Amino acid sequence: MSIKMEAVTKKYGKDYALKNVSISFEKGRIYGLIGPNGSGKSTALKLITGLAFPDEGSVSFNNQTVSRKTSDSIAYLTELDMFYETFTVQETIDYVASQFTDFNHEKATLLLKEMKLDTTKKVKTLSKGNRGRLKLVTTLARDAEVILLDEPFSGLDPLVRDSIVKSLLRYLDFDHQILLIATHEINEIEPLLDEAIAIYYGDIIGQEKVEELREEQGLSVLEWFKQLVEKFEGENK
Amino acid sequence: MNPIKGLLKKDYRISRFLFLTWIGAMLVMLSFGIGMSAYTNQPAGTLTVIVLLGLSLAVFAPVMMLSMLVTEGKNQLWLYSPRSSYSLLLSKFAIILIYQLITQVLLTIYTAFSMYWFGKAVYEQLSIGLFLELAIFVNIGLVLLGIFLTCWITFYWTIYHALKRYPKIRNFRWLVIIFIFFGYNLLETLVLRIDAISTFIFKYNLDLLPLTSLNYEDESWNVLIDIVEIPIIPFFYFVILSLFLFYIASKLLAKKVEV
Repeated sequence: MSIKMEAVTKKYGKDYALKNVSISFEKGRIYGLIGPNGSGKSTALKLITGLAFPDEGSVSFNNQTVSRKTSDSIAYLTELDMFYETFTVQETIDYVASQFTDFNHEKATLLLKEMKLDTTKKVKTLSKGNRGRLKLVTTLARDAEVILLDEPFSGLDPLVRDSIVKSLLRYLDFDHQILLIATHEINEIEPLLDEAIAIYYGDIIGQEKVEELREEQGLSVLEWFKQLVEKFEGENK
Repeated sequence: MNPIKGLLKKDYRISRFLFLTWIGAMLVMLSFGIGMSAYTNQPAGTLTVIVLLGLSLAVFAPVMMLSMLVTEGKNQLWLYSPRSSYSLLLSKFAIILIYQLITQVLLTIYTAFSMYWFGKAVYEQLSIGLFLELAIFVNIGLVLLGIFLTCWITFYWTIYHALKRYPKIRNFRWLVIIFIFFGYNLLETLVLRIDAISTFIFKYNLDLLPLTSLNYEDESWNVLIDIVEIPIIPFFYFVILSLFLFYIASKLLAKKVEV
């Protein structure tokens, strides 16, 4: 099982979201796609999910070009609120469950309990933290081959962040899934990562195994990323 | 819950409020019509309401579709689904069709009530058979018109959202829609001006059903009956055009509309 992006370019207007990006992701690994806001992380995830299309290049999953149908195998947590405001929590869960055959109801029930979400509440009445939790329930309850998390900690307090990390550890099958987390909050996910990929305004400027980074170079992911950015900006002045 | 049922339930939930509001407004209008007729002892009240609501039903389906698509357009969550774009759109068509049928049944019952009970003193009565024949004819016509216009709306909406990808025309997407609208209608008018085509198109007609209208004369309402001829070729043309618009809209939704 693998995801491949080959020479992918994606533009929004005159701005490049991704510039000739080639990268692949393999089963059994946890990847961190790190970079500042607007660096192309969300676009990369949307392209993998089939929610956006490359202007140039190709994106494939298991050697098949990605399409909307690919979402059958990819659980995607968006940075944005992708909810129907008038739905209750339960209706939201039921809708997602109806669309994805890999939705695991038992897991969803456990997650709901753990996240302390009231299933009768309407989405529009939920706090930002609880919306984040609900997104996590609908994503992690799927036994999908690929899990994509786009800024899972965005705007959430430390308690919620902690519960998200715990849920990731408890509910994901790290040996059989690809987990890709896109975030600019590097410290939160560093302990989870196998590999870090640095993205900077459309360019992939580095990719490193986190263990090697720590043990051989004595760098944290954040320090490594800062070094890369300085080097990249120096070269492109 | 199977995926289609899930989609149908979702589409019902996102449109329920608007539909119930519409039904509420309709009931107010129907009551107003009865009140007016009772007060004046003339069928003018109910008749006006029947005509107004009948006309509004021609645009009910496309307005409902546009409202649903605008709701979906806010976050495009519906596109994050492995279901085909045909299924995503057909689910909305199905819900709208159910709404339209409920509304039309209500209006048909109201019309029957108005003619056979409330207006029995003032209307020259149609036979029940003829009334049913007429009701079926008008209702099928309204449903087909609704589907045809809804296909156009869906087509325009997907064109509009697909053009978002192209920065040069992104800010002029409305102009593209207007250009397609006027361009198509102009083309249709010009083609119909060609005698040979016009003659061919209206060559085959089907004497389908009586066309009725109400006429007020000597303080009495009479039902005038005439035969209506349905041109066959335009009918099939509109069916094919609807299918084509739906097909293009589905393709655009799958390949060009992005989240």
